[in-house]
Amino acid sequence: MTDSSGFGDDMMLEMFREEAETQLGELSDGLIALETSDSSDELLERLMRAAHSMKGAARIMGIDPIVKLTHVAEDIFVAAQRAELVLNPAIIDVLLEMTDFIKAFSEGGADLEAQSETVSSLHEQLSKARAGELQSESTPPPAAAVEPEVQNTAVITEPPEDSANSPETPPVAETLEASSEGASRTTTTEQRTKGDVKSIRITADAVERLAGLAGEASVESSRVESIADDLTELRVMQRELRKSLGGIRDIIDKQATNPQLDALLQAALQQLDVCSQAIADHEERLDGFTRRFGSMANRFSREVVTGRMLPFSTILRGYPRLVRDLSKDLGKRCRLVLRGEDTMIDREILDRLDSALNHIARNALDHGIEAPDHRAAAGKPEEATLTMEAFHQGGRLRVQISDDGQGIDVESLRKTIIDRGLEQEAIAKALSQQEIFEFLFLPGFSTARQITEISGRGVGLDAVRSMVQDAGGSISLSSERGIGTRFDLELPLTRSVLRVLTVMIGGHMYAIEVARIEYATTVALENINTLESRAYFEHEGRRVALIDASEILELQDGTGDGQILSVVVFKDDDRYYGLVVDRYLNEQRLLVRPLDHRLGDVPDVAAMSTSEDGSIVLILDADELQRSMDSLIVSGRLRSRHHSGDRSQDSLKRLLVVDDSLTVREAERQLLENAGYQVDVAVDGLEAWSAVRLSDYDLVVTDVDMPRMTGIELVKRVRAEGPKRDLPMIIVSYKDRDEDRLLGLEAGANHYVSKSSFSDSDLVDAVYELIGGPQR
Amino acid sequence: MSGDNSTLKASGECRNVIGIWGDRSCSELRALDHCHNCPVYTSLGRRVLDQVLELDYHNRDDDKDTEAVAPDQRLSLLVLRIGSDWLGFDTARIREIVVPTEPHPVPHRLKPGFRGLVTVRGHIHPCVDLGVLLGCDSAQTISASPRMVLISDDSGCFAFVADEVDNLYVVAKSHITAPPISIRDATPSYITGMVRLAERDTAILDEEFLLHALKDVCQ
Repeated sequence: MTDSSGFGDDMMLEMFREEAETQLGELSDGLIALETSDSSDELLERLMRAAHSMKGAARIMGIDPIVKLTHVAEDIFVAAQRAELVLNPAIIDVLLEMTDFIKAFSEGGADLEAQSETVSSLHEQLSKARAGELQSESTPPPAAAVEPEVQNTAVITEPPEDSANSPETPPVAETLEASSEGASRTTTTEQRTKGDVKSIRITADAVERLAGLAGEASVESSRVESIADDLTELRVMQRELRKSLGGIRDIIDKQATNPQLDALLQAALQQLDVCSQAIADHEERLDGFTRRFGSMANRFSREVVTGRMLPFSTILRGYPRLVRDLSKDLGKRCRLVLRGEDTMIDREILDRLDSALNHIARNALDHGIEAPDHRAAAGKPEEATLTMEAFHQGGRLRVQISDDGQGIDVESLRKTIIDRGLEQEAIAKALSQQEIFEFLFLPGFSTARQITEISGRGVGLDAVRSMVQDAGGSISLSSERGIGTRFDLELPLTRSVLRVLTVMIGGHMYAIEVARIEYATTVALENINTLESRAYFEHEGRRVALIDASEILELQDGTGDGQILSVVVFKDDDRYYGLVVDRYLNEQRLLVRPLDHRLGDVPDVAAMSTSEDGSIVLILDADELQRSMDSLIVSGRLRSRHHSGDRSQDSLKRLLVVDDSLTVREAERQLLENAGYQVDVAVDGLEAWSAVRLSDYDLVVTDVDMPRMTGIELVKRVRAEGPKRDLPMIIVSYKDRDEDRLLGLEAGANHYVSKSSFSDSDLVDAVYELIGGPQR
Repeated sequence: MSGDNSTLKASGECRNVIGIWGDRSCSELRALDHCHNCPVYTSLGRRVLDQVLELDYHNRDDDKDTEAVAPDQRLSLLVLRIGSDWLGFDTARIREIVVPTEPHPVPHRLKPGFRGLVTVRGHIHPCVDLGVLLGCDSAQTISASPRMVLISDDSGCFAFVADEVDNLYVVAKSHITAPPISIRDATPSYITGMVRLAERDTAILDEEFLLHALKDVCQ
């Protein structure tokens, strides 16, 4: 066996990982499908191929244990294809176990040497399975979507050749293939089609760059138009020229002086006509080109956007397994039904959706779905159904997760609300079912009596809601006692394209999401009133408070028309706010890009983009803008708004934490921030040296061993040439020997703390001792 | 006159003197419409492509005697002017030099060194005012050919406008002298050393520190 260091270079390992992910996904999907349906030829072929490819990948990498395991797995599938072996749940379990094992290895690069026992036990189990010696237990555990009839037919039709020396000859029986052939065919064909969708990995950065280039292409296409315009102008000029020449000819005609002159003039006029015609032709060709180029650039942009979309099935891969394993653990039986797997969803939304779905599914299995005997007693089928469905509706994405479990007990929920004092009894009693459900989304509101491993992992429905809201969507819940529960998620199809109104503020372009705007209007100056020194106007009987955009955004004053104001109106509950902009431009669809991360957090700005003409557009955050406008109106605070925030920060002492380990750095930062200090971080001595020269710090906490510049060097440097040579500095180190301590203190550190102790209060104490509390 | 023209033509400079980019007095021009159609122009193009580079072409304007210096003892610098200061940037950090565009301001960002965002080839970069950041003397800011320079580190590019971009130079590290005392004492100082290039004192910038400052000013 090759040891793990001999696996080739990183590139190879990375490729192996990708391959493994694909093949293991296939295996896992296929095996689950085997449990739900009968073993069809296509399915077995698919599984065999996956095992084979996995074996091939492992062989190239020289990972012998995995070659060994997948080899037997491949044999098993081949035998099943030849109808020499029926894959019973016990065999499927072992195969799944193997899949998990390989997955853990490929993801974590686990040490196979150390796990040689697991490998040999897995190998033994697989070989047993291959030999047909692995039978299902007499009473199989209730598994997800497993049909009992299939379980009991786990037998072998013929003794396979290569296991002829096995001590027992398995009994002969018939498979169920014929009986359920029709049904299984359809499902596997579907899966094949899905499996055939080729995908490649591409970094988000590359997509971003493509998007940038697509935008650029549109811009370039519009530049061609200006050349076409120039040609038109040229033609107009020629027409003028023809007029002049015509005038000359008229005069010559009348005077009839020189026939030679006449002939020349005639020739000139003809040449001019030829020229004009040529230009007209060019113009037409250029026009056609511009149109085609423009539409191509447009399609390019659109493709890039759709390139960010993936089918719903991408995140569904794990769910059959999740439902199977969980229901097994919980002693329940549940069938998972997936619909709309081909629904295309934006990658970014898909990511958020995954964690939300995961939580809801776990919740349903844990709390919603009853044990089989309860279900039987209630007259429901023992096997519960969990449905996940995605579809597009009205330009939005809808995702529904429903179960046919016990539903939510509204009255007990109402009681909890009253008991916890969340609402007065009288009011709580009057709340509608829908209003009661809303409490489930409150942070910390959990009805689970005990925290279970399944669903009570500290994440509540409030987290699910915020995940969905972050993606620009909403979630609602409906439930009927005894019938079931349904979560309904509504999300935008993509966050990468927004329909916006572009406006000019302070001479530059900004955009506001159309969905957030109540209406846009113009107001004549004479219709503006003031109340308590605040401007407002009346629109349809409502008072709309006016706020100047460049004022609220702290920008240069705008160049709006003095007499007529362009106003974008927002609504918040029953309050209306009008944002005064220089002027509106138009409504367009913008490809949204996240704001440059180097800018940090910019209040009131959600994202950036480039407009059709290639200029930068900042997309304003309507929610934040509304809050800003509200506080501006309520408190009358103007430009001081953000400065006052800064001031409260300024009153705190500022520390710099230097460590090359992210974990240590963050732990220290947390510790010190919790103590009330303001904390910046640097990844090594050199960055810290830059930082202390730029900003005024009250104290530095530094590690010793770091690349580029060590902590000791940093201390020495600050003491020798720093802007503040007496800057208090603490060294934190693993090295706990006296000589190390001495070395640090000799370099000029004020304190030397052992790294093992910063989880307790040593570090904070040391900081306090040197500079006192966090207040300046 | 014709003698003059043939010298001009031999040098290929005719296009800029009497050709389409010059006073257009060339007698051929009337027949050819544009220098692009002229055999002189074509042969000039060929000459450029066929040109054999002198072995030390990259040292032409450089600091003297750099050939004798080991590669790790040399420094390649892009020299540009901000205000009245000539500054040398490590060439490896320079991504692109383009014609400046007007930055789009960012709400609530009122720091004097920060100018906003600019777009170059569909990419958006923060734009900083290096003159303010470095405390350059901006008295001599009149500039015929300002250029926007993109300087990068692993976090991406920053843009700034230089009043003039001069050239690339290779200098021997041993020729770099310490910055004058007055600069050294100023805090913070971005200058690590000085070098004499094209009869000008050029300040060499501490890239690491500068990029740190650029990040800081954008925040």
